[in-house]
Amino acid sequence: MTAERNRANDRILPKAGSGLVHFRVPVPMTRRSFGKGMLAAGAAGALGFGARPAAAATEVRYNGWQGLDASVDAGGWLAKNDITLQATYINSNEEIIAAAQAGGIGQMDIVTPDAYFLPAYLAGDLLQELDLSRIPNFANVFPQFQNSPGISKDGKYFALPNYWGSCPLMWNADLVQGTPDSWHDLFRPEFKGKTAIVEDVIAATMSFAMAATGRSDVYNLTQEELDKTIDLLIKFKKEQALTIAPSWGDLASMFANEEIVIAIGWEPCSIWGGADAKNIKWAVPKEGAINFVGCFAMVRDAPNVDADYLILNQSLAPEAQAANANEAFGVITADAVPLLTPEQQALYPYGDIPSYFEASGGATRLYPIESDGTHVTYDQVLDGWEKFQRA
Amino acid sequence: MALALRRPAHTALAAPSAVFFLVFFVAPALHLLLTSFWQMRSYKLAHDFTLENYIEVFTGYWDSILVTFGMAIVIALTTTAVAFFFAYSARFVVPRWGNLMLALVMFTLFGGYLTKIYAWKTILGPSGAINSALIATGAIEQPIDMFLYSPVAVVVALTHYLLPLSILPLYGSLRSIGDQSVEAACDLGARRWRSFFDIILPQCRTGLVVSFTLAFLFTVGDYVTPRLVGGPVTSMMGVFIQNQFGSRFNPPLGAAMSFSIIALSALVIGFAVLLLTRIARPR
Repeated sequence: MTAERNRANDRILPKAGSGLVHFRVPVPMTRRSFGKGMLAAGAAGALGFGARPAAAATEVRYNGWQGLDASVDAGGWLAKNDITLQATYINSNEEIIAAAQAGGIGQMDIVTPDAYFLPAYLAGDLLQELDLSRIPNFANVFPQFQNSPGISKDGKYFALPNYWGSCPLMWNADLVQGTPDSWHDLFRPEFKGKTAIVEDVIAATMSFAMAATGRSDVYNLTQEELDKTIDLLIKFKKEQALTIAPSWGDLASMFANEEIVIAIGWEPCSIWGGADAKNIKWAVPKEGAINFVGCFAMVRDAPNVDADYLILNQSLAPEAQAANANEAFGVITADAVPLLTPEQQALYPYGDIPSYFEASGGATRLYPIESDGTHVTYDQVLDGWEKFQRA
Repeated sequence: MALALRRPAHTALAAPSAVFFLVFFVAPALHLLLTSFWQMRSYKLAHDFTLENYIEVFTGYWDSILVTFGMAIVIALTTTAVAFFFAYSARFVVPRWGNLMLALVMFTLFGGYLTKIYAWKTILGPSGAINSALIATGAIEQPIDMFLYSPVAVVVALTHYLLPLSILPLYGSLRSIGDQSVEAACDLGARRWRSFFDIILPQCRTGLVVSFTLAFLFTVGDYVTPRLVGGPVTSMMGVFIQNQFGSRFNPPLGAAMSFSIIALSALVIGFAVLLLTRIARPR
């Protein structure tokens, strides 16, 4: 998710929010984010965001990825329902947790956690249990995602899936011979200086852990496996990589400019180049690939429960989901698919989502927050990532 | 100024800015300093006094500190040198055009930070102006990748961005040097270089220090530019400070990193002042 916020950097920023993948990505602003930010600001102004709310309007506090709020407002839905959003945009899941723990309980309404990170939210008792009878659109969610790991605990639901995607191996088919099928292909001599890696801890460490260990359940790594993973990352950085891209948007630009020809990608990168987009292909390597599900959730003791439920339900409405697709996110409800353009429909395998997740190695989970005595914790992974950054 | 502040009216005039400074800078900085001696345990702040954070900074991050300060010193020196030549030209070589040159410098400030960085990314890239020109002239057949994503690109981009900020104090210092003293030196037979070293340089010492300090401090704290154009091996301390306040949930270590950088920066600037005082003194 870092990348996420990387996204921030990019035009993407606006629509950032992705899951795991976007973890702790620094978020320097780029031309695209600037331009999109201006557009968003204009749109926000037009929609009344930031304007003095009407006396009868309910002001809902939103702490989440930039752009997802705009999707909810597709067709001017917020104004029609007398709701204004007080939006605080985030760059990482940790920001939500920090805000909630620093007095946000009882103040915050809607947040956008990534599914793999939900155990950390639940451990902190930060989320409100959801009454699905007040969210009828949940019935339209693809079955695959109605049971996404993390969104429920002991039969109680705490988050709604909102979008999805993965980080497969991506390449420029006009410049790469054959079909790469392994993360180790990134190390082929012909790709020296023609590849890069996004500064996204989860995407980078898990993809390279798959290469280092040959298995896909890399959320459980031993210290030895983590060391191998970090060593492989450092080797890649020193011997192969042109640079470390600060965001997924920057990676998309590098593909568009033909600065790179192969990398760990994210589906939207293939179309973000717009008219400059190349013949970008992607595939899940034989070792697997990480995937993520972005969610909406309500903070415990939220002050505007009724309005929050309306927003949660609207986040799954076809028009809101179609707006997500405009940002190249995978839609989460079946009834939104007919609203997508053929290009958007082709971006994700909506016809056989289960096979897609099975091929990538199952739903991605976060590294353990607390030590189990055998596997490395998320904090230890971050230690390894800093070693990679310093190398 | 001290005398002036003894007057109640003048003290009252200074009070708002002083209070603002104390409340929004000094107090938060002191809190951050205090935090740097605390620790995180199980993601919770433990208010016990320890120097472990500072030990961690200098044992675990010394390599990144070296990279950061090495980069900052090179960029500050480059920027100050280029800025001095520009300001000197505007003041003494073509004084008639001095104001116009200064206006042009001010005009470049309209370009935002990221706009300039991305402009350089475009210029230095494989299909950028430099590579295109070299290919067009037949000097090279394939674009040279090393223009971008290298420490050189960081130096070029940041020097360009910092130049206006460095030129302004230097030009101000040079403007305060009267023509009479320079002309007097010439009348007394001093060669040009002698009047430069004995008259001009000593009198613009403050401008040089300010110029160097601005460029140095900005670069020490910057980490966006290296990320965008610096390539894979230019991680600066700002990255790790950001990590501590973000994903690492370790504000005490981040605070210790910040104050370590501040202290080391003060040392570097102090050394620069001493060096300049020694070099730029009338003989």
